[in-house]
Amino acid sequence: MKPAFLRSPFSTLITLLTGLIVLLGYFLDFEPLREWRFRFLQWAILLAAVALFLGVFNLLRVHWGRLSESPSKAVYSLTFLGGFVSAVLMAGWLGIQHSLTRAVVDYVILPIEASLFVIILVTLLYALTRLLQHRLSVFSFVFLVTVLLSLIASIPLLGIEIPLLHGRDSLFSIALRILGTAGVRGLLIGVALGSVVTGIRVLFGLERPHGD
Amino acid sequence: MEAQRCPMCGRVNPPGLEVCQYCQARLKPLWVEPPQDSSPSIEVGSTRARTPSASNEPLLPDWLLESRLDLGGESSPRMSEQDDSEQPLSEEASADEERFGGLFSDELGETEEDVPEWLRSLRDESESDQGVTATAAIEEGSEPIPFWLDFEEGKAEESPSEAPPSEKVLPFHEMPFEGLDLEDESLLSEITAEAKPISAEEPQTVPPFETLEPFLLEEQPSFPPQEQGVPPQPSASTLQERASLSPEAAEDWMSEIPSWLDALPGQDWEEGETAAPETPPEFLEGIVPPFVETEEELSDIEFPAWLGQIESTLEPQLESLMDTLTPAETETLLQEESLGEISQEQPAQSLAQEEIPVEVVGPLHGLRGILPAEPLVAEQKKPSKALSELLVTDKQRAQAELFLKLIEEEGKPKPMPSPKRARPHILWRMLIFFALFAGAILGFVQPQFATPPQELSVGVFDAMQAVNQLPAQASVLLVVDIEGQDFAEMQATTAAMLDQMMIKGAFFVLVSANQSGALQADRLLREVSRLSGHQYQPSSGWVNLGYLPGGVAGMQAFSQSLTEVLPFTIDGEVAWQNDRLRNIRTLSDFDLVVVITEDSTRARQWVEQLKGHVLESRLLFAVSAQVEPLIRSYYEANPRQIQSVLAGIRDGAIYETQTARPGWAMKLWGAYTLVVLTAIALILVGSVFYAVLALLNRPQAQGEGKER
Repeated sequence: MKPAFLRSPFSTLITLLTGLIVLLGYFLDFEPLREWRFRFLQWAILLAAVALFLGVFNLLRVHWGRLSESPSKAVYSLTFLGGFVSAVLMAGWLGIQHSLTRAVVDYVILPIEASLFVIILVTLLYALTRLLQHRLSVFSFVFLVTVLLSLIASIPLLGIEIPLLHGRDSLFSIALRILGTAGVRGLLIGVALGSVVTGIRVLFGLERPHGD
Repeated sequence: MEAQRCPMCGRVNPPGLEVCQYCQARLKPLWVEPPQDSSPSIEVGSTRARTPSASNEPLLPDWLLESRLDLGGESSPRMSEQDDSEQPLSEEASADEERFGGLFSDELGETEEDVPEWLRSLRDESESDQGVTATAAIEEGSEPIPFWLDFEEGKAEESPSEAPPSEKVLPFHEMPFEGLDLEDESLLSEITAEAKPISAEEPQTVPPFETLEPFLLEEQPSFPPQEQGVPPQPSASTLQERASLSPEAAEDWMSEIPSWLDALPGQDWEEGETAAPETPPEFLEGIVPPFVETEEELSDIEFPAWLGQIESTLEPQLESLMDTLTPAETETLLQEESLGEISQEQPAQSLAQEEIPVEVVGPLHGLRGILPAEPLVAEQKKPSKALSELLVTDKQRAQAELFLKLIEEEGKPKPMPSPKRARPHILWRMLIFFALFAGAILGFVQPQFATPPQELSVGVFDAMQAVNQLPAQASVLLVVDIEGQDFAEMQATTAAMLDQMMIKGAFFVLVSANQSGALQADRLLREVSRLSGHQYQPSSGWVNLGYLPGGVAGMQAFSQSLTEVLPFTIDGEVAWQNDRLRNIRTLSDFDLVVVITEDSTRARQWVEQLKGHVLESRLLFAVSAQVEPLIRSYYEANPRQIQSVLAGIRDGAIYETQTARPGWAMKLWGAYTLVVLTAIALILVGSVFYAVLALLNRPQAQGEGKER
């Protein structure tokens, strides 16, 4: 089997050159290199914007196709298409600062998304209460206690200050800062190493995120 | 001329025809036997003088004919010298030699030197034996000599002067019955006694090809003896018949030319020489003569009565029918008749050809009539029983049985175990929802149930310092990457800080890496301005640059040159021509950069891409409570990578408390506190209830597990 960079050498060469120029422009203060780096980034932004348009058109095409499949699906697709057309016409014709356009955002988009978030909250609470029923173990118990302590420490209990939980210098706050920061830094280091390795593999043609 | 009657079918043919027009039999014999008186019979030892004609030559191959002609010139003088003494024998021998091209001749070119020693010794022995033993036995008369041993003696006694003893053995010269006195009754009785058992056993004789393979027998019809010119072998009855003949008749029979040989071309007789009259055998006497020459002879024949009736009825009809036919029709009928005979023979031949086995394997594949040697060669032998039996121990046998049992069980269909699904406790879920909803409503309506946070966190303190250090009419970049579901939390988190900025008359530049972030940013400033009592409006209070595509690449390009990446506002106006933004060319030109996001990944990307383009002292992060652990690692780093972090409603409420301007965060704080308290209570109650339920059901569950 051929290596990845030999299967499509042209695209691999483009990836290699652009990646090296952007990377060198990030570290080296050289004006032509910086200029080329910026051009490449602008092209990437332009391509991403075009991809967004393509995604929107693909979404429209899928829902347009569903109109002829079944009446039950056609209802939702018809609702989507109607909302999309009205929002585009409203923002394009009246402008984004028009009160009607803002009303669509304030009274349609935000309440719907907030309601979904509330559903998630109720579902998480329900699952948490039945955790011990399905998995009665030490780890489940530790997880449950940690959640409870975090919630208790986040709010004052009707004006009652618990010494070990409330306050900046409390034991729980110190543990949360140290343990939380340590864990997150470990995750960030892992993400950084993974990004570097992935970047090197892309630069050397071993990884092909742009496809074969 | 008179009409001719066919000797074969008995039908009348017109005069002048040589072949019967009905059965194609010859009407006239090839030669007519002369009367007994005019033509003496040919004696034994004499031969018909034939002209050495070239008509016999087609029988011989060219090479043999040439050699014979070459040798003929040498032999002719010797033949002339021996005319007086050996004329009968030499003439007949020469005739035979001509006929067979000298194949049996030992005179031409054969000398004592050419004869091999083994043949010479055999000749000497035969001469001595014949000269001593045979003659002595006859003279003594002690024992009857078989007739086949008496040939030479009789011949010597009968014609001692005609033919001197010669070493030559000619197949057509020395007759097997020559010299026998066939009138001797004792000899005849002996011959008949030997012939009778043969005739008696004739019906019981085994067919000569019975032991042969069937496919060999099937080949026989394709090579009839008549076509190869080989005379048929005389049967036992024929031999008996010939033995019963008189000596003269026997001589005639021996000297006569066979019919198959007589049919050959060139059989011309000399003038004055006629063949001996053909005498029918005794069992055919009085029935039908083989050839009838005249009507008188035909009238003398007595046909059966039934044959006479048929003849009398069919003959007129056939004659009338033949009279109506034209010669062309007659010829057509003859051709059709010949074709019919051929077509009747073809199926038989094809059928016989199909019955011949065809080889199907090996290099002779496709050939027909191959000897079936393969079944014998490839005969399979049954393997010995000892090799086929395995030596299996009891343990191995038990394991094999267990393995077979497992395989059988795997092949059996098993009912699909119903997935153990927890029954949905709708009542419990409804209770959770209504409890949270009631706590939120009660906390929002009655905020006094919740105690406002009094402790000042480090992040809030640093943020307050950064805002307080802003100059008047400062330019602030707001990166708003929030979704609609988190808008309320982020508004509560940033409301007090934005209020302080608006108090200082800051000018905001809005940008978002989220598709709906631009609208959320616009709404955020509107709500903060409305709730705080400011008169901030677009264009005068902020510029919305809209959506920044490209993800991390867009952030990097925006950090490098924001004016080139986003030159226009969301309304399509030139962004950087605003009076408040004339001095803005890079990110470092902003007095403060605030990133507002609830997504941890997005927060990390902005930290990484803004690094180096914005001073750490001018970079603030207002994030959701869930992002605080991640962004705190950048905040608590040494040196700090960001100036401050505002996380969640709690920090927003603290900020408002510290600024003494209660706002959106404090309104939500009561509801938030009661909802969290309700959630804690529900978790405790529910966990204890279901834990007890699980403990009660554990023995039952263990029993079900054992049953499975």
